[in-house]
Amino acid sequence: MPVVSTRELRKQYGRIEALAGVTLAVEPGMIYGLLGQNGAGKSTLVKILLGIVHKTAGEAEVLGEPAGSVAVRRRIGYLPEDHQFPGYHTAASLLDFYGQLYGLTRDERRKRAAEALEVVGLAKRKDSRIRQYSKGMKQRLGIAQAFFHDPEVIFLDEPTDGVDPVGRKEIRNLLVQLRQEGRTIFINSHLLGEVEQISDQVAIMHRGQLIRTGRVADLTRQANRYAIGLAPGQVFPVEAIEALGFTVTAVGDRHEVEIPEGASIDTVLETLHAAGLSLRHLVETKQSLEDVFVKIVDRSDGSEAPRATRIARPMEPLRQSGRNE
Amino acid sequence: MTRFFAILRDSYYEAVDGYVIYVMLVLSVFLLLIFASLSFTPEPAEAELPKLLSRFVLYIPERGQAKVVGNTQGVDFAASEIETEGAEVRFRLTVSGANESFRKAVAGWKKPAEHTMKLKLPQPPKPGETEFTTKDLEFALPIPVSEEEARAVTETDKIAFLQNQFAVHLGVRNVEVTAIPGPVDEKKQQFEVRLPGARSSRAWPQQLSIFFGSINIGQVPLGPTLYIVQDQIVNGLGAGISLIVAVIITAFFIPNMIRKGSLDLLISKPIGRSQLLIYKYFGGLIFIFLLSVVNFGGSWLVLGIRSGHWDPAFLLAIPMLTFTFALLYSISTCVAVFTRSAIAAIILTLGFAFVLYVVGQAKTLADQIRALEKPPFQWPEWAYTGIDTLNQILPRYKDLDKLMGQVTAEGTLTLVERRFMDAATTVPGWGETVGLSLAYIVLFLSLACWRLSTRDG
Repeated sequence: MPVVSTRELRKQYGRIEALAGVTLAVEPGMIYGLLGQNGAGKSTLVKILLGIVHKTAGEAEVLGEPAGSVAVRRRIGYLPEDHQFPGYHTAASLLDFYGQLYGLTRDERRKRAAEALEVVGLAKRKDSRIRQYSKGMKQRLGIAQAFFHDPEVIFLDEPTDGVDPVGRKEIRNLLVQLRQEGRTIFINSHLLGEVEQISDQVAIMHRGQLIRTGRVADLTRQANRYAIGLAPGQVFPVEAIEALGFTVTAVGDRHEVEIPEGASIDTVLETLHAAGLSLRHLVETKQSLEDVFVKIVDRSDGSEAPRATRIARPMEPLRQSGRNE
Repeated sequence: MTRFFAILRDSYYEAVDGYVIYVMLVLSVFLLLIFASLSFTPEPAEAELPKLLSRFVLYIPERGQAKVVGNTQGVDFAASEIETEGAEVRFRLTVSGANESFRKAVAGWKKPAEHTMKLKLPQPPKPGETEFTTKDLEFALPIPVSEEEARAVTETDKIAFLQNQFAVHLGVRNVEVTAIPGPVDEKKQQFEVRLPGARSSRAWPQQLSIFFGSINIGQVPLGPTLYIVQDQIVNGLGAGISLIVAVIITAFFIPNMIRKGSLDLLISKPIGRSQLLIYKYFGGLIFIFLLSVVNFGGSWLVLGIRSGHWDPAFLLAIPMLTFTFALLYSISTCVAVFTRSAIAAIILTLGFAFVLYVVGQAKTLADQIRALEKPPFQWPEWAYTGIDTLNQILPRYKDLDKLMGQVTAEGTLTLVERRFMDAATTVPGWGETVGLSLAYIVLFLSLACWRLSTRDG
């Protein structure tokens, strides 16, 4: 039974249709990454699931109960994007306050808050006012408050926003650990590289619709494309392979071979063997989630043209910058 | 309740976060220090008892319960063998007068006043004016007492009458009055009187000085002095400043809570939006409550220690001011939810409070004009109708102040002084004043809850 499910979920802001009939199902114990451009409807979807935004039509359930009900909210954690914690609290007093709202006992609050702050690396600053925290520290606190009360589902909107690379890695490890404990994690993020590293399943939203869902490995796999490396000093027979109907592209000291429909990599391997060449490297190539995302979004917009030629400011390499905006 | 107390505590943190509350508390402490420097020295009983007894010519019929004042005729009260021990005064009281006058006075005191007459009471000129006006004060006409009724007066009645007179004129309860046995002279009767706490009672004249005796202000009656300090300074000026500051400071609480990035954190927790808003509203009342406790509680404590006069009813000002602020804060909350703007909340709340104040003042003035037999000016009838209607339908902001003034008067002034004061003011009823204000609080909060519950995020 899915822990999060929606059917034909719609949200209208005046004339703007933020969600145009979203149907999805998130199975328990997985990290689910929701990807999309700004304004795609990701945050609206999550806010409806949490009861922060009222749906216009359709159905939404979390943990088998209507989304947004008080009973459900007791069992979930949430880190909103651009969150603002009251500056007059300390990390410890804030978690104590939130713990009371969740109905935790005093002992539970103390124990879990201490553990959570230790996990996110804020234990030493737990008694400092939040207004003195850096953005990264506030983000860590945000994550701590999202999981310290032992929720079954955790919704995270841009969880690594403002966090340094080391901190991001720690957060990724934490999320993997939380998944191993059996929790379901629902991530909204622009950081495709990070989502790719930890998500079991991703969904791509575009203009209020889910346009693709699937396992990360399935989405990024490039069928019929292989990277081949030969022994040092040997020359790859590009012309001979192309003569057989394959497309060859040199990538560094290796070559990528695209297998046409109906052909097999075995033909290429046999040709290399017949030419007395020694194979040292053979891998079915994958594309990055970023490439997949851009292609899918472009296709959804009805264009196959390279994205960089259609926008005024080319997107930065997502894996390097960590952001696409 | 855990969530309620959690939000109360959160609001407390928010209230004490800024420096303004500490500035207010420092100012309060400064005021309390000035109060603490007041010195009250009771005047000697030998000089003051005769003056007190001269006021016994007035009494309150119906065993002290009537709303009018009556007067004894042909009865004199004199003190002798006066002894003082601390605040306690003991003396021999001689009641003398015409034949059977005392019995008739006591019999009249026991009966309700059947007929009354209005006497002109001079009113001091208002600021900027020079002429005295007059005001009607209702007096009981001499109450007809039959011979049987006069003869039916017992020694117990006489003692009860005297005890009531001390309560009415001096504000002293538990007075011990014992008739001295002896040859009964119809024109003269003597009593042993013990007045516990008389010299710290509300009507006892005191020498007042400030700054621990360095500046002598002169002889003042204790009760009216405390009344002026409590009603005009603490509950008037102090409460007014506290209310304005509290409106400004707390106007940021709700907008801060519902701003983007903050509200999502709270409403994703297992608590209803209306519940959250109502709890936060009560949390906002903490600010004024803290100030009230320091101002009123501190004044009560300091003035009690310095004067020896303790009036617990004055502490009612703490919930009263909190309730007054609750009305203003409900407006602020409603405006904040609709606009998300603290500035809009401040302007509209203070504006509304000003309108209520003006209506309250206009109503008071209209009542005073109508009570005058020959008012110096008259308003057109529609103005009275308009003021009465507005006063009827709007929250009784000013009336809450009048009610607190009445409570303060009851704790500081003698019954006779209050009867005179009642003649000069129209005191509203508790039920309609609190009820109407409460209805407006419910209305504004309901609107705010509805808006918060139906909005997205």
